[in-house]
Amino acid sequence: MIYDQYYLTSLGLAVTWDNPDIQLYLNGTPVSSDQLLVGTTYEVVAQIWNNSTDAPVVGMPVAFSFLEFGVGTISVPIGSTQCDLGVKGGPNCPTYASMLWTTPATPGHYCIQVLLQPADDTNPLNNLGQENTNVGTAHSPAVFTFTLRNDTDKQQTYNWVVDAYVPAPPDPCGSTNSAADRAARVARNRRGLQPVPPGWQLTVVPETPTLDPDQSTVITVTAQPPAGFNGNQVLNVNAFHAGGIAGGVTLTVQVT
Amino acid sequence: MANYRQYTQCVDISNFNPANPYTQAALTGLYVTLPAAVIPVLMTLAGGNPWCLALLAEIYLFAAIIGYCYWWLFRRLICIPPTADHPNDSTGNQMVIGTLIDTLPPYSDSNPLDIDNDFSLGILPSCIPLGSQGPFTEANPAPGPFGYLITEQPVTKNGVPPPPPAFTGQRAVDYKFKDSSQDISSQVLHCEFEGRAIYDMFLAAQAALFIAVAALFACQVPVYGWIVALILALLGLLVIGGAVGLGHLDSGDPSDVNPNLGELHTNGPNHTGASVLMIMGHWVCDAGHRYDYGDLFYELHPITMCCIASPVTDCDPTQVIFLKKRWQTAANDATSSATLQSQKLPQNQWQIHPIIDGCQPAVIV
Repeated sequence: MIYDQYYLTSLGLAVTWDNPDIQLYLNGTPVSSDQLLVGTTYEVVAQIWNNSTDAPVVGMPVAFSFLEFGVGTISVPIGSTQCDLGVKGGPNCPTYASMLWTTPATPGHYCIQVLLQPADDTNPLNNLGQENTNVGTAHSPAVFTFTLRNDTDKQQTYNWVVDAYVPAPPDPCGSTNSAADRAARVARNRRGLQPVPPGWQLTVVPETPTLDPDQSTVITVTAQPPAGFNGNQVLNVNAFHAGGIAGGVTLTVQVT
Repeated sequence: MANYRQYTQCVDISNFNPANPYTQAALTGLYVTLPAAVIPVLMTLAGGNPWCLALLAEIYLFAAIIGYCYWWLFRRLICIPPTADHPNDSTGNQMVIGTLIDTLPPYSDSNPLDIDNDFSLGILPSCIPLGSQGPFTEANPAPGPFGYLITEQPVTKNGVPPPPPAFTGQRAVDYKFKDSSQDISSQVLHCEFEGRAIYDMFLAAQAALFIAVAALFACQVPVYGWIVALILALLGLLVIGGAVGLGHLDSGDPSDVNPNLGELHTNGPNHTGASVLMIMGHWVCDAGHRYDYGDLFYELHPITMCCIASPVTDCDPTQVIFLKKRWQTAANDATSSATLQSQKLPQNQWQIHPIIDGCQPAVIV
């Protein structure tokens, strides 16, 4: 399993598109996926977990792909590799799969997808991790654009849910680790518990776009920080349609 | 990996008795009954109740059941020594990756006296074409990196055990058509998850034997002794019946060794779609299949680990040896005491994702 935004959303949890299980490296140094250079070779590394205490996986295919920055955009394969994944609590869990990726010559932002393809899986719904981030400097206001594409086979109307969720570092383990302890941790990650802070003015245009299958449109997000704000503010822009979450992006507004 | 279940033990060929198991059971019955009969017979000759000797029949029955179960559990399976090219792993296992051709769940045959409740699989080892029949011998070994597992080994040659058909796999059909002439039969590796029914019967028959012997002596007590004996005799039968029922509740199952194992599939009519399995187990020859299938079966028995795996796409022996080592490492890691201890730690109790419901272990400085 990997940090899968679609699965976590289906559980009612907030998600970040700055995937904690996907990291890009340039010459061995971690780099943010929002500052990619054109025509440059990066190493994409995926951290992969096993929730089974019984079944290791040997030779699991891991497929890497990239997409135009946005929601529902078309996935372009980078390549596929294999990895061995140990059982939970044992060696090789987590394990890591990596793939070299040379960014397109066209300037722009891109998303990374990592798809695990185990031969057997008790829960096949948590195998797609996505990294969609962008950073913008607020010049009163910060403006972001991305593409929204209908990747389903029927017309969809989209709604936006914006929050400021950032996953907190896990608590220190206490002397007990009961189901209630775990439930409390899950509860802290429920969707809606980290709204956009007061004073921020956000607009997403178009507000409720309706798209036919394969139709796409450009979405513009305008973020106006409150007066006197300094620092970074993370905004997760999630798109929902009648079938659930369609995707999302994580935007960071910088005010210096 | 969950603990596998094992009630059987294989024997070295030097300790294997090729005689018919029913003959062996009958002899065991005699060995037990004759000594037990001495004193009651003398008591009868001295004026005791001669009807009490009828209980010797029950003693003989229970002793014969013990003898049969003993053969089943401890004298039926012949250990096959590993070959120089294919040594056992550190826990005595051999390994196969192959296609699931057929399954035989417990109690799936029509014989009500067959209480064997092992769960059996027929595996076509990777790189052996569907339809390969053999017999596979030293001169005509089964192809592929796992073919040796169903190729006749020296241990079962030269007439021990008889017959020596050199057909050391299980005949299996991946998909049964209405017109059986379309069926494709292959020689596959038989693999079994052990159930507990025979072992339960073995224990129950010993208890029942003790009760029957007690009944035999109680019967000689004047006046009410025959009533006590009758009750004890019925109790012995009840214990045997209870063991049959108990065995039904404790069958072998793939989830015994891997609770997370997904649904298993065999081929469809186009001979595709079957699950590919990685199986580890003890390599034995099951001499018992001389009596139900007319062949010797080389088997992995008991199965100690089973996972759905990716198909072997490269039959190059070097690649397969590397793949085997990776699986063996993964299996050993999964079952090591360090891993089992680590799995109890708080930081490994997450269920959704470590960053959602996990915790950070305390740092000891």
